[in-house]
Amino acid sequence: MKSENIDELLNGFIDGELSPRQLTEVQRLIAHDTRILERLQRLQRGRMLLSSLPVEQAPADMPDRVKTALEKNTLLGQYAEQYKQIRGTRHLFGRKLATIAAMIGLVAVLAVVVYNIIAPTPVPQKSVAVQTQPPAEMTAPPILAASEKSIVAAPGETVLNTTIELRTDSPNAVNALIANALNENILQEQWQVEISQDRKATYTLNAGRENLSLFLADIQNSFRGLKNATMYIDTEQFDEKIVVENVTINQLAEIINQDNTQKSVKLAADFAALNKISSALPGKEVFAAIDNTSADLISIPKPVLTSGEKTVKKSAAQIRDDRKIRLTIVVAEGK
Amino acid sequence: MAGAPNINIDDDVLVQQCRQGDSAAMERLIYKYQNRIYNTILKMCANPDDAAELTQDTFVKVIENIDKFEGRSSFYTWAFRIGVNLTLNHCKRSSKVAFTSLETERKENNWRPKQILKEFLRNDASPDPAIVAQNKELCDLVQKALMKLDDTQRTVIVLRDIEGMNYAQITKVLELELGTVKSRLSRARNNLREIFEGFLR
Repeated sequence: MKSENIDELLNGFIDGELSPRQLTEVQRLIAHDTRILERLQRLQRGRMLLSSLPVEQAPADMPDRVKTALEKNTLLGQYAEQYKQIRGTRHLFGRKLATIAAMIGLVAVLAVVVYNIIAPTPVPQKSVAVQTQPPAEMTAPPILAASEKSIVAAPGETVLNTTIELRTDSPNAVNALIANALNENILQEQWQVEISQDRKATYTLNAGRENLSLFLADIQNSFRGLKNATMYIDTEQFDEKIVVENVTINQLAEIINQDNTQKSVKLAADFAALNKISSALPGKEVFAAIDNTSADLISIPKPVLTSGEKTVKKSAAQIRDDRKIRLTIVVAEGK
Repeated sequence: MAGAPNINIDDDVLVQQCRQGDSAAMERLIYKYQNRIYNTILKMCANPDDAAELTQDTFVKVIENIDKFEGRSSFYTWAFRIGVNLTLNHCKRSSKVAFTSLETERKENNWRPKQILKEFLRNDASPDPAIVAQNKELCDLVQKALMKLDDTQRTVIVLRDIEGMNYAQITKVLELELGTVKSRLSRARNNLREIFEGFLR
């Protein structure tokens, strides 16, 4: 038997931890081996020595010390809990603030996006420069260069912007007539003409109502040989025009002679509807109207000489007109 | 023990009362085990102040965790397990504990206790345990020898030979297998004997 195993048996023997069989084995060993008996005695003495040590008494105030320590731990625990609660509250508050800030930011971004989607598209400024008050030192009215597109308008007044498209078999004759009328009634600075390669002439006039009326009266004869005359007039709605098909010179003059742009536009709309109905009628009376063979709806206010004085070309000051009208006349060879 | 209340009450009853917040039951548990736990811890760490502090910590931990006591072992072994673990951890932290070489021990002027120790360990003598208990110097010498054992061997020998636990209780306190306890105890006793013999050379 190994020495370690014998020692464990001997230890079990002195500790009373052996089974009956082990106990018999140890008794046999110590009965026949004095060395094992001596080892057993040494173990017993060592155990006895330790067992002989006095039992030390715990401090008498141990229960109080334990209670004090428990109270201290409880207080510390409470403080720790309170600290955790305060810290937790602060943390929660911070998170709420962050959430609110994020929501505000999100709403702002959404508002910008929605505004960009639903906001009304600003009406692009047409080439109109509104001069609300003329400079004090300006004694003469502003003169528009022929190439200028801008028009001086009275305060709060919109500009009537009209285009007339004339289709004729003899454009040269019509152009000659229009040019003559322009020279007679409109300042050189207030009109220009462009002729394209396909012989289409575009006259651009920035003139007052009165002068335009005179001009229209002069070109009245040219309407007689037209195949077609169509008027386009801008409305206050962006990019929306009223189209007056088969317009007559009388209708044109009436539209231009209205007191203000709104009235002109409304009248143009009425004429557009009227002409459309007329074109559907048997006999296409509208062509008769263009040909000016039927009774005029409105007489053209052509000025009449009331004295024997010779007609004198009007000066710029004389032909000043409060309401400027932009009239574009397109003369084309056409159907 | 002056002022100690009647402690002949079953541990399970005291534990139950303690769980219900009965401070008197808590006191009774402390009174019942304070000396045994303190004595065991003191033999393990050899410092009265540390032993008192560790005993206090043991009871604080016992009471704070009394609801977790499941009763799979006895309250006695459960409380000792807490105390022993606290002490072993303390010993690990302060490994400075009283290490003195045998040579230093031989040079120390403690002739009288060594003589008593020699007589005690002689095979042909009839040792009187009372002599040991009455001789403080001899007790100190034995304590020094104990402190020369490593922590695990010292613990098992203290639990068996000083606290008087049986092997089964030691296995529960130290959470070891029975064979481990046996072998560790055997080695601890042999080593202690060698330490004593070293003192006497």
